[in-house]
Amino acid sequence: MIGRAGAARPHPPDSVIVEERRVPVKPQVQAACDLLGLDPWQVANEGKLVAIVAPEVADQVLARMQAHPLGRDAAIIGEVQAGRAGMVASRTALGATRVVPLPLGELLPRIC
Amino acid sequence: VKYLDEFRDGDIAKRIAEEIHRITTRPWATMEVCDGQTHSIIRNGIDQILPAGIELIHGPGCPVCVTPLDVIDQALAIASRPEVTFCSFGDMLRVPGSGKDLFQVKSEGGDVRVVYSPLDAVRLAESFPDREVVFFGIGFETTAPANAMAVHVAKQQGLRNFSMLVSHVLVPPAIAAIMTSPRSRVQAFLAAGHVCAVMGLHQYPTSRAFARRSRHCAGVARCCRARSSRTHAPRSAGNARPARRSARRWSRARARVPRTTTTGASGMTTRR
Repeated sequence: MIGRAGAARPHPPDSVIVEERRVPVKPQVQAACDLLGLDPWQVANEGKLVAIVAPEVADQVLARMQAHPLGRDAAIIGEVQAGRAGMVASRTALGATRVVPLPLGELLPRIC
Repeated sequence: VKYLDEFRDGDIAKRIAEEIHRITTRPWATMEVCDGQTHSIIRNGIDQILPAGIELIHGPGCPVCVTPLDVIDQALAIASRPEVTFCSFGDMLRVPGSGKDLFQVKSEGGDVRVVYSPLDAVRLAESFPDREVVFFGIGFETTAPANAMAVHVAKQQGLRNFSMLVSHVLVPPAIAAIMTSPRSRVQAFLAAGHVCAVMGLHQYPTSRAFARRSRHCAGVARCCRARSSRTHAPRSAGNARPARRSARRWSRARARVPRTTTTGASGMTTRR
C-alpha cells in the first residue's frame, strides 16, 4: 500500500518512492528468483493489490487489510511524492536511491 | 536457500561501507571486472554509499557484451535456418547483430530457445533427433567448463545432431590489456572471484610483474590476489585518518584526474 503525500497541493507531478525493505516478498519466491536469475519486482505477480490511499487513513486501511486472512502480509511500502511524473524510485536496503525501470519485454535470466 | 540472505544484509553492507570510509584517504579509480558486480552495485546503490573519492569504472566482464558482432551475425544466420533449434543463455537474445537480434529471429519463426545449461541443449538434441540443435557457447572461464561438458556428453551419447557456436574469452588478458594501456587510469580491480574459483590465481601476474609493465602504482594486482593474502589494497601505514580530514586532498586530486565515462577505460560499451 502506498500513502499519497502532498494531496493538498493543486497539481504536483507525482512520482512514487518505494522502501525496498518494506515490500513483502516471500523467502521462497526470492530464493526461486535468485536461482533462476530473475528479479521478483519484474515477475508477473497475480492476485496482488497495490492501493494508493490518503496518508491520514493509511493506518486504518492497513489494519483492515491485515485483519483479512489474505491480507495479513499487507504493508505500507512507500509514498507518492512530488517529483518527476511517472517515475518510480526505490530506497535500497543500503539507504541509496535507484530508479525502478519498467520491465522491458520478456524476462531473461542473466548468465552471470 | 542458505547463503543468499546473508549476502543481502543491508546492515552488514553499511558497516563495511563505514569501514571503507574510515580507511580511505585518497581517491581510487577502481574497476569492477564482472558485470554481475556492476549489476549489484547499481541495483543496490552501492556507488552512492562509497566515499566520494572512490570512482567505479565498469569493466569488460560481461560475457554478452564482449561477444563479437560477427559471431552474433553467425548465430542469427544459423538460428534462421529451418532445420535448426538454436539454444542460448537468455540475455543473449536481446543483443543486436548487424540487423536484428535472436528475439526477432524467433518472432519470424526461428526455433530459438532459452536454456539454463548447455546440457539442456544436449537433452533437446537427444529428444529431437531430426533437428539440428546448436548451442551458443559464449562467456568467460566460468561458462567454458559446462560447455565442454556438454560436448563431452554429446560425444559419449553419439549424438550427430548437436553442435556449438563457440565464442569464449579470458579475463586475465583483458585485465592485462587495461593495465598496460597508456590511456588507462585504473588503479585497482575488483576481480571476478568466480573466475578464480574455476581457474585459481596462477593466471594473474604478480604485482611486481604488473608494475614493470604498467606506469601505475605497484599495488594494483594486489586486489586480484586479495583472496589469498586477505589484505586491503588501499590501506597503508599511517593513512587511517577520518575521511573529513582528507576531503580537501581528494578535491585537489580529483581536479587533476579527468572524469571517466561510463564505458570504462577499456573503451567497451554495454549493448544492453
